[in-house]
Amino acid sequence: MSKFLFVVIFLIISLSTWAQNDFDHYKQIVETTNDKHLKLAALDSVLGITWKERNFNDFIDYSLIYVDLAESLGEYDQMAKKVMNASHHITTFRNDPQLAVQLIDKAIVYESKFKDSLLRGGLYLRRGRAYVRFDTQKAINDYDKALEVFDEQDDAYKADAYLFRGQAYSNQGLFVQASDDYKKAYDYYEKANIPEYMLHARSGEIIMYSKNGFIEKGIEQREALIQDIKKLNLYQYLSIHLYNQSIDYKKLNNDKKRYELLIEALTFADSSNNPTFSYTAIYSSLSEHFSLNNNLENARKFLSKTEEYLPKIPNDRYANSIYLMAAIKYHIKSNNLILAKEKAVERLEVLENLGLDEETINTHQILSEIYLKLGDKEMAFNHLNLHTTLKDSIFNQSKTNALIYYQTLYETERKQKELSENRSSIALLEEKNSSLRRQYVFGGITVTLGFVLLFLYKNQRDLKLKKELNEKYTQDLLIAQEDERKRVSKDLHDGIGQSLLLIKNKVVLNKDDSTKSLVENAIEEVRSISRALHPFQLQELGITKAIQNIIYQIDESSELFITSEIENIDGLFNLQQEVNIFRIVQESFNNILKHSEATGVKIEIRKMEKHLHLLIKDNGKGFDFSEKSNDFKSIGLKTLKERTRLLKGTIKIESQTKKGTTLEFKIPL
Amino acid sequence: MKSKTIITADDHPILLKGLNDFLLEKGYTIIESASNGKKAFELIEKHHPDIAILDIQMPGLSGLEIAKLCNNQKIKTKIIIITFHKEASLYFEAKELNIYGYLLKDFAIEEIENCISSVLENRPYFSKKIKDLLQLKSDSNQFLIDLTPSERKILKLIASDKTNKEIADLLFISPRTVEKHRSNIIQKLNLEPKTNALLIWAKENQEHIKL
Repeated sequence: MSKFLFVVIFLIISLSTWAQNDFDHYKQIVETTNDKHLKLAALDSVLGITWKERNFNDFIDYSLIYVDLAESLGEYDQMAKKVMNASHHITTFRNDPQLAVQLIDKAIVYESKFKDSLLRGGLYLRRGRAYVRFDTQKAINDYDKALEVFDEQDDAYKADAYLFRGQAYSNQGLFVQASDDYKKAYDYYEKANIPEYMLHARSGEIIMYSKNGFIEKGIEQREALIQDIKKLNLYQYLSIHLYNQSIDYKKLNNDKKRYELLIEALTFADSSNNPTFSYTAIYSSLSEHFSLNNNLENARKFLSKTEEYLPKIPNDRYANSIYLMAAIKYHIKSNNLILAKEKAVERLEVLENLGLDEETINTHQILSEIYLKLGDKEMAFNHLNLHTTLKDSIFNQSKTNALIYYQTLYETERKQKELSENRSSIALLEEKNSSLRRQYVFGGITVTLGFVLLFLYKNQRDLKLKKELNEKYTQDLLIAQEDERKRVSKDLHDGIGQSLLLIKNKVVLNKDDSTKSLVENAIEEVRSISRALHPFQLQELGITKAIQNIIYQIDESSELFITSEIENIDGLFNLQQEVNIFRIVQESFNNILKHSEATGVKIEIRKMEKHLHLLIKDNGKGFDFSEKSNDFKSIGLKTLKERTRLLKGTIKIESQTKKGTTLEFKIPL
Repeated sequence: MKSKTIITADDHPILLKGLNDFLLEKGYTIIESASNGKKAFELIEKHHPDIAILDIQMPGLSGLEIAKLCNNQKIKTKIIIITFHKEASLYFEAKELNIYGYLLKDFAIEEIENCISSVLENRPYFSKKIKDLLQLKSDSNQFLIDLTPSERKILKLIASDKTNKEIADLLFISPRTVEKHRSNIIQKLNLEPKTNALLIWAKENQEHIKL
């Protein structure tokens, strides 16, 4: 039991110390073995472990050992890789760019042996990054070299080189070249699809705006950048850009806005790439803000907070310079001039290798003021002098560069203006085009509409023509029918009638009585057919008599009680018209006899001044007129209509169910 | 008697010849014959015959037109119309034109002799068939011929003591219409315009009215 417990405890201990044991294990191998290859492998493991644990001191030391060993073994590719990794940390972590340069120089000797363009270019890129800390021109030369070496496909690396060179140019005050490089970097990042770094290129340009006094423009562009960063969820960059924005507002003396931005930056500090730096910078600036507003309590508080973070990044001179500025401002406000002087002197030392001329200049100015307050006029004068000289030299140098930059910007703007002018002329052309198109469309519609109208008109005309033709046909039919009836009637009368008469005369003379009655019947039949076909009386007796005759016949042969008032209308119409009038009367009575179930009829024929008035009224059952007029089967009504039309007259039909029917005709004379 | 002069006219040559042959056979004197209306009238104007036997439908002038012209020119020739048509209106027209006879062609042979002798005695003669058509049963009620069938219906109702209102109801017409018919009848019968004149007449002639 006790033995088992021991094993468990041992296991736990060994697990917790495993990584440490691993490191020691490989370290042991490195220190003891004589097999160079084994040593190299062990060193590789050590580097992996130290890297993982962010133990950069050991990482750098062992990297140096590895590089030497690899060189002696002729493992140049491996050597170059380790050089690249180590140099970055030597520059940033150990703050020893000279060492980094020496290290890289060792590797570059074997440049021709590297197959990979990335490796060669990468080395130059890293050396540039190191040089930039103390010799900007050499850095630029290395970036040039890197750009030469990188293949066309190495978009991301080329973009890096452009970005770094742009930064270097910008620091040199060569804004035109810087701007050019930033643009190229932006394009390559875009090509490589790395939106994150596209933002860096943009931010480089924005910083140049600020540097050249286009502060408002810088603020505006950075605001857009911040919005884009938020859209892309790249919160790790947010605090630094908000912080930079606050600096620009400080330059505009907009303290309120500066404060707001710092507070906002503070909320994103945790998620930034380098929270310690962010906190240091933001707290320092806040302290400075409160000092400015004579709120010494808060100024002290934020200064203390900065001091908590600062030891974590002892090598970050930039952060230190920011802190020192805040400290100087605080001590001045709290009248601790000795301390302020110390901090200012320290800051000058810190800034010495940083190349931030602007900061150096204003530190000299502040120091001069402090000395003045302390009564040390000589030192005050010295620093004021340094301030002025430095400022003038920088000013002269940057003035020219800035002028060229303005010019470029102006050129760019002019080009943009030209472009927009072109665009507007294109828009004008498009407008013109679209108006032309509108005209075409309108024209098209008009033509189509015209065709439609023409078609409708033609259709209507055709319909009218068809209707007229139809009417004419009906009328012609009526006339032809009348002619035919007349002809048949005459033939019956003149032909068969006469023959039968002769036959009868013969029969009578022969005294054959039975045959006589047969012949008489035949004659009677011919007579009635002939009479039905054509009203013989019309020609012989005139229309008035003919009408009276037919009424007499109807009166006599039917139960109808007929009241007639007929004026003499002989000689008013031609024969054809008389036939039609006679037929109208005849057909009206036919309708009454067939359909009306009337017991009484009244007929009136009056000769008016300009027309004949014919009224036929019955007391029959009537009909729904509107219903019938559309009914083509009602031939009785239809022929009445047609005959009236032949006479160019009008017909008026009044009828109601159970109330009789009145037909009223007006026929012009 | 038989020496009376006659002119005949018909556009149908065979019928004309048949008629002429028949009349000649019966001993009548036919001065001349015509085959159209115009010629016929010329012959009448020239000869002033006692009798002219004319067809109605002829080219040039119709029989009725010739009668009209004779009336106008006061030619005394008595005209007998001989036609194929059997029409009531022809009867009335004939009366109006002072035509003495109206014969149907199919009964010409049978009736022509009676007709001529009647006409020569100044008595108009109408074909039996025409009288049948006009529903005239005997010569005694000849005055009724002038009345229309509707008027005769009213007259009948008057004779059976019906008032205007009752007549109107029976015939489904308005009393005003009845009143109008009454005055027409009075006019046609040539009665005195007294209140009960028509009723009295109707009562007196009740037998004839009952058709």
